[in-house]
Amino acid sequence: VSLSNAAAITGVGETAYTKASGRAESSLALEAIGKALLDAGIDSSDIDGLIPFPGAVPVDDVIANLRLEDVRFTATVEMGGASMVAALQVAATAIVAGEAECIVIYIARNGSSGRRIEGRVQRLPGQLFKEQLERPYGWVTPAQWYSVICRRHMHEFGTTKEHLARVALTMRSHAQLNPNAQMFGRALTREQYFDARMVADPYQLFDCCMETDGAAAIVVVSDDRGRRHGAGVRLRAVASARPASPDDITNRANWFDIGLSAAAPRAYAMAGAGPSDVDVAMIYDCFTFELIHQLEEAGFCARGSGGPFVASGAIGLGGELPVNPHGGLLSAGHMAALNHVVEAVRQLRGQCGARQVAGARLAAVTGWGNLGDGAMAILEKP
Amino acid sequence: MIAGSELPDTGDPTFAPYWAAAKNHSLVITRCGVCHTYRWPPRPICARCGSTEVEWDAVVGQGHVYSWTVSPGEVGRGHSTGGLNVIAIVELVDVPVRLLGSLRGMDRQDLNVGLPVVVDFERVADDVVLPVWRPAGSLP
Repeated sequence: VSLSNAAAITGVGETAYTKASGRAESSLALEAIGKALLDAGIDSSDIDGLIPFPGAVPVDDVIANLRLEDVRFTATVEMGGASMVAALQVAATAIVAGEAECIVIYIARNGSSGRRIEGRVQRLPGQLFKEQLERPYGWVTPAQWYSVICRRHMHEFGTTKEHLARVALTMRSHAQLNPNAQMFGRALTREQYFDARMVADPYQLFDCCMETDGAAAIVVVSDDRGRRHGAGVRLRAVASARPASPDDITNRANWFDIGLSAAAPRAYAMAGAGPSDVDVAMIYDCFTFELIHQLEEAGFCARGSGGPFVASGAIGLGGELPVNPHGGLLSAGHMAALNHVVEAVRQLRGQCGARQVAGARLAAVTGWGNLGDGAMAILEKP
Repeated sequence: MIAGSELPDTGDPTFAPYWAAAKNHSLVITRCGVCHTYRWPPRPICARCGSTEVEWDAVVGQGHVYSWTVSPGEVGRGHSTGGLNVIAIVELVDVPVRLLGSLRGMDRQDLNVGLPVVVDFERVADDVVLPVWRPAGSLP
């Protein structure tokens, strides 16, 4: 039994991505789920499994609102921002085991107007020693935690702010081709990038992802059902992993060994494909350097060479490996990579208009969560 | 106070010896009470031998900056660093452990990975003394 080609994605849905939705998170969730069901061409009564983002609108609320009568499988994956990509692993496992046939994975959050990241980080592991050893020094935000990994990478490999700028500017230029991107119609210049306020050196404002109000949902079914559907994007492979000491970066032996370092080789082996077979990649770009870091650990370039790789123009549309054509977490919106899965599905269906990667047949999607948890999925054109 | 910071609960049973030592200007680290393997942050069990015995061991308080970051933040109690919160991850010279703490007395342009540093102690409340770091040679 393998998860390879066991499941397919037949429907995707997103709300508008905004700074202030003016709506309840449950309303956003139900809109995204409704759109995903419509896209899949199925009725809500077909849903028999639900996997929410941790802390998002509870499954009981979705069941009650949609009057679902036959939900027999629910699960939550606690991997922070890697949870939605890792949820594909759980969904495929449930489908292979016969525990469910039609699973909806969803996220909904007023991440900008409601409870922002400062509130959400309370869910992180290692709270006791963080309160004792880190909070007294004001080391309390993801930007600060990850900035030290970036600084170390700069020291060991010569990565520069110019490399980080290239990531931010590429994501922003991609978002100009995506009408649903939060930063659609708001171009970013190099001068604006370098003039922005410092957040956690070397991270300035535009090195940091946005916080977003909105929701996204996808419908996962068995591969057979996906084939009958006709437009089902196949889940060729999926894997997840955690780094050593997943609750603590400081004393981790090697800061560049992250969950993705172990998950990516497993995903490639399951897919029977390698990095060079991937036509378009959706990388969890919570910060500019994390995109560079994950390009390396996912095998798209060698460890230490991610800076020059992005500077070569490889990650832009028309480049060697177009990354995040929708604009990513940096410029499209932050739906914890479920919007990355949505974009991958649309790219593989050829529905992306001006930002379409021509001939995209294989897409990779990564997730990064907590202090380096990682997941990777490889999706294939119907 | 630094933006986002809060004082530690120095009575917490897991950390009380650390804060008690800091009040006496001593820097202590946990190690296994049976196989003596260092572990930091403090954890309830030794991942090497499985013992839950803990002992605290004084270290010399010298190290090198393994990495660093600077955030905007108001630093109170006379420790002006131009409104910046400079944080270093310090790799100790005598035991295989890295500690996180504020780095004092450094200008932004002089911060470097590899910088030698020494521990210093700052009283931030009546019963709370925080270990912080300064460039080696800067203490009297």
